[in-house]
Amino acid sequence: MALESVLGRVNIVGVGATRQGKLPEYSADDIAVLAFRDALQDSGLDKSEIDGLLVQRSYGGAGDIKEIGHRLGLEPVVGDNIGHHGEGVQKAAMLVASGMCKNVAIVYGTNQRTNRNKFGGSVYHMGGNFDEVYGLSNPGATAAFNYRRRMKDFGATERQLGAIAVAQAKAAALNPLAVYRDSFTLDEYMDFRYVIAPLRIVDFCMVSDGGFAMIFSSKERAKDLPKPGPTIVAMGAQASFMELEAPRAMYHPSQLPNAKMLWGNTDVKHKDIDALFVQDAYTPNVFSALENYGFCEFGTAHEWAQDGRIELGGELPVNVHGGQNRFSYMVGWHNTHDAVIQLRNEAMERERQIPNANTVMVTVSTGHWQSTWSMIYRNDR
Amino acid sequence: MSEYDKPLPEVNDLNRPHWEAAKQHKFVIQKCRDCGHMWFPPMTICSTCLSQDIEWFEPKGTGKIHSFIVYHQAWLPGWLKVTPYNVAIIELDEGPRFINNIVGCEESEILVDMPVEVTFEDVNADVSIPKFKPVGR
Repeated sequence: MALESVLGRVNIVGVGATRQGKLPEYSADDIAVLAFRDALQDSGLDKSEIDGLLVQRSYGGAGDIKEIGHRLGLEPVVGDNIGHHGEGVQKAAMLVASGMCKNVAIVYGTNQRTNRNKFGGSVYHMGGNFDEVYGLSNPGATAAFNYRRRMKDFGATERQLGAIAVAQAKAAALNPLAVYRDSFTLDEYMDFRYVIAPLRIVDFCMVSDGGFAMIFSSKERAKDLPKPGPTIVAMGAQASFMELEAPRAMYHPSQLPNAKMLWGNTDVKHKDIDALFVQDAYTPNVFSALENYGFCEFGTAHEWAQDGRIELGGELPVNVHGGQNRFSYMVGWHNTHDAVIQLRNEAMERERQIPNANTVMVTVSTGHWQSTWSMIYRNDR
Repeated sequence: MSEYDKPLPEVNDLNRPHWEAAKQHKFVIQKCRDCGHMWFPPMTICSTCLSQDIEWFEPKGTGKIHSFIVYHQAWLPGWLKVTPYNVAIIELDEGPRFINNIVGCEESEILVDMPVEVTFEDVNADVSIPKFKPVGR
């Protein structure tokens, strides 16, 4: 099997989070520093032991590695900006597994809600201003195109899509960190206004402030730490840049080869997954992930996910933090954070804890129909 | 005709042949002379074989709606007052997919895979914008 130099050798020994929602009293870089501080404290490591630092930039040019590195008072072996959470997890794992670094922190902080990021802007790499000429704006457009095509190809309905928002709202209601904690029924879902039909307002991620950080160490080192944490037991990745040229452009094509790598290099099986976290900037992404990663057949997820199957207590709980439409818009960082919380049995309110969670899967994407990363974390008790 | 207040094409060296042709009610896209790959919007180098030997050509102008969406909220100037409005992915018979709008029918009549053909919207004396309408409308 490939990846054997990494898999089973790296643990997540600390996680940190700030409050989510609106944090006008802090800059984005403040938020990143506070998230790091929280993760460091959680890990029991001394700051001087952090010899790898990977920081994701955020809205408005924040998160520059030189700024964050300086403010953290670090002189690490490796200090780089990264493009995305999935890249951060996998590079941290590779740095630790290779021995180049001993303890790698990955960090993200944003105050894009306070700074009023509007998420208009162009959607495709169209050159010139073709998007604007034709009225295309907001990355949610890609998910709306996806679901409209699914409705034609497989007879999916708008009401079936509502199962995701309903499940995530139910979970968010139990999550003290969640920004929106009111839940709603499927009937109430149908009454929400369209933003980009067939998607409604609750199918879209919110815009929120907040930060997350995680620290990765070798499995050996983790044994001596207060919370040795889960081990990374599987990884997959696939970059994708073809956009509309990809034959399966509507159905997140990069996830298929990603899934092949993920499952092809591990003994973990689908039935072992106690919880799945999908980066769900727009709810239809959850259906694509369920199919492409092999939890159900292609073209069936909108049926498969009904009747509580993806809710807490269901066969495969999905996004039990509440997702990016109810918990917080944290571009994948919230997924690994809550995976670790679940695996440590720390879900703060008891109904949100998945009993005996032992194996949790996280998928992350750059949005649109682009690059994806997947990870499986397992307790090694 | 009231003044057109949606974003107008920003014409540059790369896309000028497209917008000049549109003024003559011709819809042109790019093709690689070496490998035959076709695409739109324009690029300077073929992304399949990396050749610079590329040309503009006029496809048949017919295709299908690969998918479409309807904006009930707008972020762009001029588009807000025409909500709800549609944006569609057109798949030409020759293969390339790109973004456009469906005109000549109600939003409620638009269907995925509906056959469409190019038409032109003369938005002012100097600018015509290619759009797509159901075939035969």
